[in-house]
Parts: sequence; structure tokens; C-alpha cells
Amino acid sequence: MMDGYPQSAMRAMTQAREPADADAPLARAAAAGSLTAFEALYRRHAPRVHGVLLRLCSYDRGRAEDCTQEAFLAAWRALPAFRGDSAFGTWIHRIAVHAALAALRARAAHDGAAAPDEEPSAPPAVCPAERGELERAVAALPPRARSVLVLHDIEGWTHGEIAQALGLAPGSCKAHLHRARAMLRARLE
Amino acid sequence: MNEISDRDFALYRALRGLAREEAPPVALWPRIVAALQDAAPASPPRPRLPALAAALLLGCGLGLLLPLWLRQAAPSPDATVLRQALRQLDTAQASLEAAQRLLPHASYITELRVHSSLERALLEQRLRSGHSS
Repeated sequence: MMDGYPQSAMRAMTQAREPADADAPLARAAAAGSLTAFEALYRRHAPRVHGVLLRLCSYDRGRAEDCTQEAFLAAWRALPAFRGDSAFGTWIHRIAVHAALAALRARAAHDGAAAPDEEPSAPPAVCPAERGELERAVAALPPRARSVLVLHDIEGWTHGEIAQALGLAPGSCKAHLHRARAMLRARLE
Repeated sequence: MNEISDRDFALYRALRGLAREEAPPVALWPRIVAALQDAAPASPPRPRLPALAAALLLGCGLGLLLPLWLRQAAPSPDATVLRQALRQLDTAQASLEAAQRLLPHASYITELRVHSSLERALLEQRLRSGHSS
């Protein structure tokens, strides 16, 4: 079973990219209304945020940009409540993922999707060729399976964290992950 | 028991390889700024500290020190001095009121306002009764 992945190692790899909180003074200044400080935080963290949102949005660049914008707007609104208990990078990353998941749910509801896990008829055409077969296979997964796989296998979230973010039972989260991996393997073989 | 197959590890490594950063387009930040300008400020307006400090300094200085000075340095002031002191206490109260508008929940400002009101009432009483001591 691939649930045996070393989550601590994955998390360490994820967090190693963050400066040890050099962001705190900038976050305080931004919370006090400094747009310059907020821009510095944006410059530092937008690539990571945009990266995960691209993956969650099936590499649809337009949607990922909208989600990135919404994530930073949400962060600006929430900054006064940011206490620095976690690194700013971790905080904004979570805000971004939650914003993207909400957008995906809203889109599914708007499009009248019968079920969030209904398999799409074809992979999105927006995936650039250089991103390769694996990215196209991930993009072609059903939305919920893709969200679970991206957050667990790529971003290093735990099942508990994903279940909370997606409103699932942890067991259901594991089932989605197994299904996503099976579909991925089938598509790649 | 190691249940992870080589094939699964290969897939895992490949998926981890997707975890890369992607710079958003340059035009995104101006879009965010434009949206921010329409949005509420990040935090409620902060008290204007210089104005607050000035109001508190004037309020405390006049409200606390003036009555003290009257008792110690001018124990028997005439009516003119009392009227001037009343005007100064009015200024102190106005300053404390301004400070309280900036910090509405600061209880020490409320106490200062009560104190200066009591001192003003005492002075007024002395002025009306014609006592100067």
C-alpha cells in the first residue's frame, strides 16, 4: 500500500522551501495595511501557491490564476487574524487550497455535475505539452480524486488534513486516493 | 511489512516531481491590487497614535496636575484663577474625550474623565460659594 509513504519526509520537503519565518515582520506590516509588505509576501509565495492551484485546477491556467487571485484576496482579509502560529507560507498555502477547493465545488454545482467524482469525458485540452504525460493523467482525474491525489501524493498533506478540507471521512479519503492511483496507473500503462 | 511495490514508488517519485513552483503571470499582481482597492481594508483603522498621545498628554497634564497644583501652590486662589483653572479643565476633558473616541474601551481614560469631572465640580462649587480656599 502506498499509504506507507513517509509523510514526515514529504512534509519536510514541502516546508524546506519556506524561509524560517522571515515573513513575520512583513505579515505584521501587511496586517497593518501595508500593500508594499503584502506585495513582498506575494512575490515570495505566489509561485508555490500558483503551482499547487494549477495542479488542483487540472492545469487550467485561467482558473488557476483566478484561484490565486482569490487566495491572496482572502489572505489580505484574514491577515489581521494571522497570529504567526505557523509559517506564513504554510498559512497562505492552506488558504489557497481551501479557496481552490471551494471554487471547484462551486463550479461543479454551477455546471450541474451529477456527482463530483463523475469521470470527465476527456482530459482538459489546456495542459501544455511539455508538462508531460503524468500531468495530463493527473488533470484527467475526476475532481475529488484529483484533489485527494494532489494534496496527498504531491503536496504531502495527511489524510486527516485532506478529509477536513474536503469534508470527507478519513476512510473515504483513503478510498479516493486508492481509486485515483489506480486510474492514474491505468491511464499511464 | 513493506507493501509498497517498486512500481508504486516510481509513481510516487514521479508525482513528487510535479510539486514544483509555477510563477503566475506578471499581470496578476496588478489585478489583485485593483481588487484590493475595492475591498475592505486589511484591518480596522488603527488609532492615530500621535493624536492619541497628544490628547492623553494634555488631558492627564491638565486633569491631574492642575488640581494638584491648585491645592499645593495656590491654596487660596482668587476667582480669576479659579475661572482659568475651570477653562483648563474643560480643555482637559475635551482632550480626554478625543482620546476616548480613539480608544473607546480604554477604562483608564474613563477614570481620568471621571476624575477631571469631579475636580471641575469642586472648583465650580468653590467659585459659586465664593470660597477661595
